[in-house]
Amino acid sequence: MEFRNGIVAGKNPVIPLLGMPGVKLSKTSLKENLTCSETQYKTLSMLLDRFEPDGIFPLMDLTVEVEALGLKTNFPENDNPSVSNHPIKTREDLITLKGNWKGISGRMGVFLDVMGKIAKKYPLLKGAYVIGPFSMAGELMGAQDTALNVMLNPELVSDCLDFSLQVISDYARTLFDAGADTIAVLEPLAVILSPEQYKEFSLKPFKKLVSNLGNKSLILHICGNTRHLVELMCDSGAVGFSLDSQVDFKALKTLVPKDIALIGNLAPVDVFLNSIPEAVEKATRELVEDMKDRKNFILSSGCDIPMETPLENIDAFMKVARETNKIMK
Amino acid sequence: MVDLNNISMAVQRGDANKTKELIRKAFEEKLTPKEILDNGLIKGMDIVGEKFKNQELYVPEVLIAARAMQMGMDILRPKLTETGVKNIGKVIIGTIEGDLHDIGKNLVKMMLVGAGFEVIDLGSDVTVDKFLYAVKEHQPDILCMSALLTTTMVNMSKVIKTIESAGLRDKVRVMIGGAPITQNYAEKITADGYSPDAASAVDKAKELIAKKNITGRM
Repeated sequence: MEFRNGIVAGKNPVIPLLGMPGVKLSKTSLKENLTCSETQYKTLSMLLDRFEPDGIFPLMDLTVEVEALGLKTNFPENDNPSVSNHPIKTREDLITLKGNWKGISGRMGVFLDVMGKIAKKYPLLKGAYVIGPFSMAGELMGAQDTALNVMLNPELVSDCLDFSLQVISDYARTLFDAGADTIAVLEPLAVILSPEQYKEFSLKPFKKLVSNLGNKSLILHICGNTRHLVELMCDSGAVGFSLDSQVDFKALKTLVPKDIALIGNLAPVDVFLNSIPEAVEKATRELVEDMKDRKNFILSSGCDIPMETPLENIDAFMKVARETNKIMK
Repeated sequence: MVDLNNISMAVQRGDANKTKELIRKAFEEKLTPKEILDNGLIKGMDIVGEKFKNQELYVPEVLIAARAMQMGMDILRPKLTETGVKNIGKVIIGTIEGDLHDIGKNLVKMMLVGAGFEVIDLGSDVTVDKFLYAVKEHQPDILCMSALLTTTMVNMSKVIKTIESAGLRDKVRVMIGGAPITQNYAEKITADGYSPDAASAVDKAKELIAKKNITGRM
């Protein structure tokens, strides 16, 4: 398979954001997957064997970077870990925290190891994840305080963004070195921003990230309804946009330049989780039909597919994807 | 003479100091707490909510407006109580068990307070039993639950079933929201209302209260 900027060329690939349902497949726990590279590799291998997608991403985890800085997390056995305290209230707090960054550490090693193992064995598109700078600032200060500080203390937000960018850049570089073809930058918190705020607090650091990484292939992922941000995202330097089901992809066909891949966007909950195979097939067919004349479209889910998703629903999705690939440009 | 419209404007700008200053002036000029609430604070948050729905304002602007409103409420509330002004309804709100995210829940809470509801906030990571206990104790008109994760949203259904088993389901209306929640999901778990954003949550809550006032029961 050929890659252009890390995105598959010459065909319309199907790459659902699959990690979580694999936990059921490998009969492990989510925590085991997020803390042990052997387990996660086994899970991803089983996903690849069963569904044969054109690319694979690891399990999604938005706490890896801040946990490496010593932030405390709540880590249930079968639920996403989440940050339980957000220590940054002032610039002084941030200066203290900066001292905690000693380079690659904590569970970053797990994800680097998984990437290395996958790269060695599978000749398909290998994606990695990093948290986006604004979302990382959100973990450092807490989401609500970050939103308030955008208005009341933008200097502190900027300082947190600069530091986040440093950590993310260091981590992303090693993920590319370990064999990642592309990295999806997960920036869920950006959805709360106005276009002007997005430009300053998320787009600007994203562009710096692209430049820090020597223009390597980055995908921009923002959850929720991002319709108000899409025009600005086109200036980000990302090679693809992974967007959620609330965004009408048909409307993006002409809005987003053809050299940016559109990745998505079947609903993780309504289509994958709470549905039956027939309904998944129908929804997949409709999306493919809508997007058949869009070059550079990657059929996927709008966000991470939930853990309890019936595997037959993913089978149904993959079946239609294969059948309909012929009609795509 | 204090123009209550200026209080509304101060709230909309998120100017907490100005909001408090104008409310104090309004007290001196013997304006009633009810007038200050309705034509100042609530009016301001109403406009903010409308603009939020129309994507003219976004979460950060709404949060600082709600903060100004809340600071205003802190000095207005004792006077409201003194003069016996009633809330338009009582709401219990919380993020579901297993979920530590609370920005969405807080936004809904602040918008409800801004619209004149009494809101009891149970916080985040609220267990099924804690919801049940709060419904028994406070007898709210509406119970609001929020979830950000697909793994935790399933607990909402458990809360509804538990309230049913306790024989309290016809006493309280249930509203749910959060990123993974959809109208379909709300119907599936027999919630009475779903709203995609905080401003519509206020409309939904008012709608449920109006229904109650017409029928005399929930």
